[in-house]
Amino acid sequence: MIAQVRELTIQYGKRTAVDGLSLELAGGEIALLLGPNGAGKSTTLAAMAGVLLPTAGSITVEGADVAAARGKVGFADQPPQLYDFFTVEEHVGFVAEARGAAAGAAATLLDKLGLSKIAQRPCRELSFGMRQRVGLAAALVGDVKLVLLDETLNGLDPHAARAARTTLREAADAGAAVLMSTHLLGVAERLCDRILVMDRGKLVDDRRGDAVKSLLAQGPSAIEDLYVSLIADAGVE
Amino acid sequence: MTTRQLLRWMRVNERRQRGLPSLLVGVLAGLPLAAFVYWRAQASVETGSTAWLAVAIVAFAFAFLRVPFHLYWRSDAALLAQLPIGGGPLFDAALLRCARAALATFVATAIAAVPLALLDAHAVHEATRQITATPFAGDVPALTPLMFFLHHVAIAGVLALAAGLLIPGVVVWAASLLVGGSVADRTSAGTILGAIPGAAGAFIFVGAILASSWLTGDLIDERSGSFLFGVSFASIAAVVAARHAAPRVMDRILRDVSALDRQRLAHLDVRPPTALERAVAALLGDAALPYRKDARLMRRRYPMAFALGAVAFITLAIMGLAHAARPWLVVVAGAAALYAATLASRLSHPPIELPRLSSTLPITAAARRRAKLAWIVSWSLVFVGAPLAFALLRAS
Repeated sequence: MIAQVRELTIQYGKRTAVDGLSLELAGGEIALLLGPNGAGKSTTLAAMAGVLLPTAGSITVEGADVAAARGKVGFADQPPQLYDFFTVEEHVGFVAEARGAAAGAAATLLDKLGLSKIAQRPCRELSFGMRQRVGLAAALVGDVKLVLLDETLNGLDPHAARAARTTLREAADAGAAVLMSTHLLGVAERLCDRILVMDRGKLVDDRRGDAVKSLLAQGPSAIEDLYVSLIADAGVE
Repeated sequence: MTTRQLLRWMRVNERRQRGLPSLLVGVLAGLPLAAFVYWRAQASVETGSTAWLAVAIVAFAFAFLRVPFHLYWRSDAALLAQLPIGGGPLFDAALLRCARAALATFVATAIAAVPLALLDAHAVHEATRQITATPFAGDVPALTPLMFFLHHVAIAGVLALAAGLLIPGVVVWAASLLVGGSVADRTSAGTILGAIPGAAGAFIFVGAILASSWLTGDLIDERSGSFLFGVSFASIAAVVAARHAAPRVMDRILRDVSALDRQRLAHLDVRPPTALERAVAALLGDAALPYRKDARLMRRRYPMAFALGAVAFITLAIMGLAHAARPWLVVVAGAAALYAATLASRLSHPPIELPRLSSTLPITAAARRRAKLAWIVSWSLVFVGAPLAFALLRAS
């Protein structure tokens, strides 16, 4: 098991964003985290990346507390955390060097994600979609075991989205666990092995393997139908 | 990642980010300060020395306040906290930033002391001669203008050691108290991160004021000796201790403090406009809407503006009650004016002003400008103008 989350609770002041959530992620798995706005998806991902502190509960990555597992976790935050005055190559190169990645790892990844042509451009000059792609590259570079993506596939053009899907599948095939939140259900359908649905800080559905295959076999809007059936349209609380 | 590797990356980023080298900023900041000290020194040697000390305290207070921002309140803290960079290199890079800022402040205050070296030798001799010393033969001990200047530079050097080494050590120690445990245990995080370094800074400034008798005398007395050697020794001891602890705690500090900030900023207390804001808005006509927007956002995004405003108010009120001399009032008012200029800049940038959104709304640029001016003027009048008028009345 790559990641284990046990009874995770996170509060912002008096508001509970994540309420006793537990889940496990295995290597090779690409899991989709769905839920309405404000369900606690981003908070869960940030906590699993170690950039938010649990009010209660624990998070481990390969058996170690997430605080001690830095370097094994790649997180594409929302908005992406980029050094605006670095070039794309420098930003991903910096993260690669920090993670002790092999020389050339950053360049290879930039090439896979179609970022080679903008490698020398400063991050501050990039459009929203390009920043998303650089954030994805930084999350994936090095020997990362847990990849956490917060709406990272939003804003990508079709070529970039395809390159991102291919690269994520390669990372999962190499043994990493991927957990991504998105509202782009069509993109997710072509990628996910597992579907997790959150509502009001709790996990309300978790299906994988054959359950996902049979769901996807029902047609192109199957995930949307599942989502609508699980989440009552009660507006944002 | 080693210290050298991290510094290489940070240098690239900072070189592109920064407009002017920090030493040049120190030189440029020192020139108006020197003009102020020169002006005050025309009244008397002692007044010039007091003015310099006031300038040095304000300048180093700013340097002390910046230390946590060099260490962990950084825009890249969340990213650095995710990466497997050891606490040692993180501390070394942060310490270098602190040392550079302390050096720039030292240069500014040393330049501010230059007018003291140019004073009339006889006036300096008269002002600094040791009336308690009654030698049987020879001259009464007194300072030359050069030695008078060097005494001031020495105090600046000790304050720079504190800004570059002691305060970073204290800040790391304060932050290390938060490492580990859950958020529920850390409800007083803001107090710990603010109060401990603040108390250390206040202690140093009180020591500097107590030691100021040495500025106008050539012998080190007990108080000034304790301050000069005590702070120097404590600075070295603090940085050695902090560097020793850094590999264990610095990476956790970066992660925990940035996480606490993220969680704290995610929760916002929304309060209705104050009576003063409503009153000002009522006077502004078509600028009322952008003013109400600016006032609400400034209150939520920069609550420190009101805390520091209250500090300026209380300081000036106490100075008024104590009949403080005008140079001190000028220095405090000058520092407040500098801060007001910073706030004015904040008013014109995101998240307070969103130029692209504003340009699509039927609000004239003139109305937006008047709204910002009204906010700055009302802040200045309430927190600085009123207590300053009181203090000036008392001083006269």
